[in-house]
Amino acid sequence: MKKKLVSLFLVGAMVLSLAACGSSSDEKEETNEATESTETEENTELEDTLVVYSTHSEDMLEVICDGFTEETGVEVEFINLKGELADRVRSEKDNPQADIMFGGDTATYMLLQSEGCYEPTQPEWAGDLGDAYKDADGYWYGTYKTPVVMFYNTDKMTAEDAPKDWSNLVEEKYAGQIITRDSLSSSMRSTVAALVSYYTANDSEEAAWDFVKGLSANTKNYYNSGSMMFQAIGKGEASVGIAVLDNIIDNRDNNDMPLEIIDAESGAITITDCIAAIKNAPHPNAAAKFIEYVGSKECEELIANEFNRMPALDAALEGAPEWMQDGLKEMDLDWSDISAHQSEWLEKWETDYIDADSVVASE
Amino acid sequence: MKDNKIGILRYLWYAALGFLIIGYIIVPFFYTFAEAVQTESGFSLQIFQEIFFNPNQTKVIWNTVVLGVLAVLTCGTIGILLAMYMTFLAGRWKKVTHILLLSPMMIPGVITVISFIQLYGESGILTKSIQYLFRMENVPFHFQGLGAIIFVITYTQYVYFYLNVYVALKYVDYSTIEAARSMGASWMNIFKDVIWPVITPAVLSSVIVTFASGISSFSAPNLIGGGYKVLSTQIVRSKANNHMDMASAQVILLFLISMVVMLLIQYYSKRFGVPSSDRSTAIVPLKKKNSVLAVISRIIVMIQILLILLPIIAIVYLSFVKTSSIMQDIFPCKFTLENYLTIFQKTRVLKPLLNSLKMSAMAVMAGLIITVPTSYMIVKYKGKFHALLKMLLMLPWTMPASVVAINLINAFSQKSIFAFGNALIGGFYIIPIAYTITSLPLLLNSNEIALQGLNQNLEEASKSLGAGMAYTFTHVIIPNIAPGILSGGVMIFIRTLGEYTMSALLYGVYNRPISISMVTTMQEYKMGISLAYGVIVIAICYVALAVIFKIDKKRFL
Repeated sequence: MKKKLVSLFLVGAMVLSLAACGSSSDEKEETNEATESTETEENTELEDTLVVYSTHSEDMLEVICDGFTEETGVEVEFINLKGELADRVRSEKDNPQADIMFGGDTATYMLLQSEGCYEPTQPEWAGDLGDAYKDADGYWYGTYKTPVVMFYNTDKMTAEDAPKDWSNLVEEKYAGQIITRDSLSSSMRSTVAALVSYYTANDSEEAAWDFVKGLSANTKNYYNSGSMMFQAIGKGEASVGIAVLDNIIDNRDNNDMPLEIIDAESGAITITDCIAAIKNAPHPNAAAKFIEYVGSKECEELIANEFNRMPALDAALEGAPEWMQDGLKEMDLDWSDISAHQSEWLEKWETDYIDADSVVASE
Repeated sequence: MKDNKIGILRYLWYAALGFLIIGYIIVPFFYTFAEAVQTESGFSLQIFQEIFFNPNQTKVIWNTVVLGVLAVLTCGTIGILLAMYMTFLAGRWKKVTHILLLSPMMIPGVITVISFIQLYGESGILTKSIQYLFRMENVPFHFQGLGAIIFVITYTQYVYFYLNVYVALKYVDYSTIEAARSMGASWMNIFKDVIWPVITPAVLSSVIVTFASGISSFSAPNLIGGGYKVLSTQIVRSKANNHMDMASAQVILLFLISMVVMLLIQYYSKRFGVPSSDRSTAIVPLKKKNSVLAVISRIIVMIQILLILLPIIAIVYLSFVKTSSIMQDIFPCKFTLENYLTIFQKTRVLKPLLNSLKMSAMAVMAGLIITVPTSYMIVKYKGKFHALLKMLLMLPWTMPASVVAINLINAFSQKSIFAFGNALIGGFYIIPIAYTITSLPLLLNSNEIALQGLNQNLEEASKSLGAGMAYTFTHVIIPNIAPGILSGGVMIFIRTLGEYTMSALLYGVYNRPISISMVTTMQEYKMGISLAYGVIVIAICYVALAVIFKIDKKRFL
């Protein structure tokens, strides 16, 4: 009996000591935070740590943050919150835990700016950035142009049969052939809002919702996970998908999938992935420095080459992969219109259009 | 003099408990309620009106209830069947089978659902095998919607029924069964008159837990629900759409559904006062192993066990396969060790595992510190006050995971006196706190069972020899109930290690748990790593289970 208890406590102690190894850095950071908060006022000295909330992949964040640490000595903690990023920044507004919001489209940044979530910054490269890619008062800046495009499995579909434009997606021959991400995906949220805005501007709101209705009817499945979606295309469950360009390239090159990107007639929905410093954040100086670093020519080139992310800064295109020089055709979109309506549109899409219909349509 | 001191200690304990219950269970609820009904012009129930007059919304509520009821029915059937088989028919391999049957409890929900998709999805290994084997033109079934959700829930959540009923069956008086048999009673009658009354309390408590976990299940409806929407998934969407009042109203409805069911069950168990008997003869497995009934039930049970084990086998197998092969091949077969190497080589990839171990251990410790003295007082002093105390601490039992998380978000996103002037959201401690809250009812239960098995005479003897109450508690009572209490603690450790629903709503930079990493790596097209994480969690949980079996044989074997 005694022996058993002793062995149990040993196991417990082991677990704790294991956990303790992982925690020492946390504690350090916490104490750092405590000492810093007293000396931040009117002081441009960099803090020791920085916290980044993002929608970007961990691999990419690691490269960026390691580069930043090397240059400045500031340790960076980051997490990928995906589609819940904006919601998280908003719910922590009274007590911000993060310094940087990194990733997500212009519309989202406009919305959160109007809610007073950001602190303006003035990076050196701000003047070189196109007006469409930054806020006039410096509340947020564009970092990457992220095209959302259609793609298809070349083993399952010929180039001739593949859709040429977004408007083709509602045609009868694609019934049950299309799959997309679901409404919790950050890029899919932007895509649907962008398409509604585009068709409303070029036709009428009614036509826009007819398009959404047709798309929903032809959509075989909505995936909560990008992996599941690409797996379904890879295994031939459906032929056409909608995804962010770099994800398609990633799966084509790293997972050897037979994928072809469609250069749509009306253009790719080009989301500008932005960055902003969060208001009342614990490490404001490091945050400003981080924005400076991420938007710089060097960092933009690095990410362009390693992760196929198209730089928003034109100067960085020089050192970027060749295909970015020509670029994809961009859809002409009014992001302030999208910003104003997106919550309403997305909710309508979710409650009225994503439905059991999609499952029925495929049978 | 001594007793006075003890009295003061006791009241201090009550005060501390009250502080915790009010601060972390009750007040957060009021925050959620306020979020739902507060509008710019004061209070209004408009949001509920919006829900009840929108057919899409009422359908979600209905779907949720249907899911809960079906989960109880299917899990109950499978769980009770397996428990009866193990008690009356299993002979050889009993121990191994028992351990295998408990394993679904240890697999993080997200990973389970993914492995089900790899097996039964449209291009699933099993789906395609059946299709090729029978040369079908189309896939034999569509693994989506309510049917698929129920299938996943059944083969992962039956464990509550199984374990509870299995333990209860030990108290069936075997001589009564023998007597009934010799008088020619049918098995049906024996089940109804001899067995059912004994297992009723176990069944009822399993109904409550299974219903609550059914209506709050998130991974399954989220990943394979298709058009089948339930409250737990809609809450997350309302939140993402910046519709916090809607999310809060949905949380309240989810809680009400769960509460109503619990009250019904309690009313039922009071009305049909359940007799308890002390077993006098040990159950020996039936000798006539070749009766038709035995053979049929054996076959059925074998199929069940196969269905339970397949996903686990799939997870382990696929964790050794290259991601590119998982993504494209119908029968993935390109092997690699890379998935595991990545986890152990990169500290950033390993850290979530350490975080989870630490947070689960913290929850176990905090849970035990809170519940052990409390259980002791509840058992010892009884009375209305203690009944109320117990009821309040049992509240989280009926609170679906997302309800607990949303309540905490509403209460602790700003500075709170209950966190001594801190805001907890975004910090490290919020997840261990959530784990602790949900662990209270289970710990209270296992403590109580352990305490009831305590020989009263020991305590009396200790006191009559001059030991004070505190001394008796630490030196006599604790050592005697330790096995039962610790096994409850280890159980909590297992349950929280791969927890997803609450973690997804509460994690931050400093406490990213392993379940979140599984999903993130999956999203970033590294399915192999995600599955390797899963295997590691399963392995750790098996070790923990071995510990339970070692220290608490009485209850679990």
